[in-house]
Amino acid sequence: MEKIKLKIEGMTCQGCVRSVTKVLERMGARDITVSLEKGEAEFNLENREKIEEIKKEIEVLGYKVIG
Amino acid sequence: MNDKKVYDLIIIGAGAGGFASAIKANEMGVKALMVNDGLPLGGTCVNVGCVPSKKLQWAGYVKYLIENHRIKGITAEIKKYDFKKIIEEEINLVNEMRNKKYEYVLDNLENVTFLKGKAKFVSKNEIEINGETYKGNKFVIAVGSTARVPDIKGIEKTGFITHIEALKLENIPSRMAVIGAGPLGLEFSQIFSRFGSKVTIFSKYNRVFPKGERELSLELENILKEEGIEIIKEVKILEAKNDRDKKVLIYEKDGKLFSSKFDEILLATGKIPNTEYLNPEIAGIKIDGKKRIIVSEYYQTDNPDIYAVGDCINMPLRLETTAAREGTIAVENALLNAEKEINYREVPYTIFTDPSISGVGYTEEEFIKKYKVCSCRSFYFEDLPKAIISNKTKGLIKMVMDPNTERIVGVHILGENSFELIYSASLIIRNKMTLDDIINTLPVFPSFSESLKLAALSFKKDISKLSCCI
Repeated sequence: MEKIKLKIEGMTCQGCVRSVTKVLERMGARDITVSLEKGEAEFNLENREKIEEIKKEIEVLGYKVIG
Repeated sequence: MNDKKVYDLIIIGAGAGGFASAIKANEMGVKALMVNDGLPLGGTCVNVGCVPSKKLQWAGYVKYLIENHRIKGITAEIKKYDFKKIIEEEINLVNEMRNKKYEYVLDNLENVTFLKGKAKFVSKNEIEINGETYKGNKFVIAVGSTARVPDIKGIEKTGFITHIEALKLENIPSRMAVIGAGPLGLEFSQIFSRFGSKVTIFSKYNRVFPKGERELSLELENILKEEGIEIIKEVKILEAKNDRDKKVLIYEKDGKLFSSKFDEILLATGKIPNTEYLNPEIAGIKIDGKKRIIVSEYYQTDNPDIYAVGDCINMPLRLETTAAREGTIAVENALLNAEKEINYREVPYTIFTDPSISGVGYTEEEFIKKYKVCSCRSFYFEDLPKAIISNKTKGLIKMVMDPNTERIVGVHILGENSFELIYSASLIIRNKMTLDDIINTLPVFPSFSESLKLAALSFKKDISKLSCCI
């Protein structure tokens, strides 16, 4: 399974990292790494159709998914 | 003018704000008149607000808990439930509470005269009630608010209910549309869903409770969806119409048109102040575009002798608690030339869903916007021993800290009994407590109170790597 990488703008502290990780966990992502320094999230996702829903939820949290 | 019709203070409205004003005026020994029309004594809260809705919410909570207690050794079932009887009990409670907390109280206010009637200003210091003119040296307006009917084509003709009718329904609608995802819409959606309605919430925003902390909104939305409530966001309702005995909503979502049939439509799209009849312009009072009376931080209107409080003014957090406190303060400011005010950043609020959402102080977004810096942490109830013990692990606390001072400036909770926890949080904020002040306390173990300490601790340590009672 190919890892998915999302560039996320607006994460400012470890609290943000945890919030994004929680969304990914709830949506069924696995092997999740969210990096504050790089401003990105890497994860495996079996149901790739969920990616748009994931992006939307991360944006509802106030962050911007730029790729 | 006959002296009998001249008062030191005239209070317009007999809800939370009006009663607090009357009690304060009575204590001060001034000659006061309180006039009321519309809702019975007690206003929204006791008659058609907090009291009856929380009674219904409690009944729904008990029913849901019996059906979903998750204790393996106990098999419980609800043999029968009678919605009419639940409503009857709710109405009896309203009558009892109104009698105890308002009618009886009024009887004991020896310096306050009460009149039933609609008041309107006929000059800067006179009002007319039932055709008679009364003069006041000072006034407190506490006229409250009414449900807002949104601008949807055909909605009046199609028919709808507001929170008032929702509290007196004789039967549970099979399918219910709730327009609006603020506190009222969310509470009623869950209440009716738990009593068997298939509920659909329509919101024009991209999340429920759009004024709150984002992560809590998202989490509550997921909880409600798991309970079977449909939530349609970023939607525009274009039209309402009837189809035989059904009510049809036509709406636009993502550029496409849809239509759905319901048995009832509940409007939960905010409230409008009851200011129209007052003749505000004659009194020299300014009203804003939302029909709210514009007041200073001391609740004084543009007419220095007229004060206004509660749902009808342009202040944040329109709650029962703020209305009452404002009523007390307004009377002191009016009669003693005091300059008392409320710091709304210290005032807690709750949305009584299950789990409930409560908050006090800044959200992360508000703090960043104002000060350009922020630090926050989310603590999840799945990491709290008491929550695990009680099978109440849904939800989280979002704590906002000022990184320059380490002072806690905001606490927002989605969780079991958040409405109890939030009072501690409001004291933390009011007393300008820092992270260490909280970390160095010793909450009971196991308890939900411990969650506030763990939320604070999570700024400094990884909670998942700690044992109990650190």
